[in-house]
Amino acid sequence: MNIGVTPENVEIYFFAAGLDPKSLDISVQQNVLTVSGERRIAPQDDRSWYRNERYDGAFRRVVSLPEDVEPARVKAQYRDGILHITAGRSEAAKPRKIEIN
Amino acid sequence: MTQTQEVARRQSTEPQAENQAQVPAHEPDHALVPPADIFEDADGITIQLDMPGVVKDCLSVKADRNGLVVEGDASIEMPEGIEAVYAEIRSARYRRSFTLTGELDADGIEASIKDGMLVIRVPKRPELKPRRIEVQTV
Repeated sequence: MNIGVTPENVEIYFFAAGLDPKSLDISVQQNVLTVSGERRIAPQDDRSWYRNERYDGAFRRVVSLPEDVEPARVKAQYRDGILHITAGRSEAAKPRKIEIN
Repeated sequence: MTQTQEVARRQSTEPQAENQAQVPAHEPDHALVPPADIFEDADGITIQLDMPGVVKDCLSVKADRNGLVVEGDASIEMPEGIEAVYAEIRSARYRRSFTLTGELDADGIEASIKDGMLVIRVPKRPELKPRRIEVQTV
């Protein structure tokens, strides 16, 4: 997981290959982002395994977001094995330039 | 993953299990070693690698008589002016190599990538596949 910020958004990248987007559950509650899901690797009896390093099963991660994030403006997209969550920050929290009269 | 863990996780010491990763101790460009599942069935060996962010165009799978080298660059679209605040993954490059045993057909290797998961199929040489012999009644 990597996190970056821009003045407008908080960008969160989860590195999760081979997921079914339908198995993902993403929720935001009081600025706490929870991502859970599972990846099942189909067991097959006719295979002999030499290595089994890839994660198999359920996972869950919880991230607390900055206070200026608006839960209504959280978007997620899954592409090429990366889950990218964009959380919009509120206008009021943006740095505002004060003009001198 | 450290070398010790690599050794500890090796599940089989059968002769065919020579597809073990050769991870140099000091990778010059800090490439990530993608986790792999390797299994064998009657027709060949399948290697599955997690390489999130890698698409077909920035992936290279090279095979010769001695082995197989997988390299890929993750392409992550990021907005301009982004400031990193937390990073678990610091390299966008993956590399892993495997040794192929003689009974595998390096010319028949097929690879496909979907959702950052690379699947490599290495068939066995046709003459080395187990063949079922029909018993005939006289």
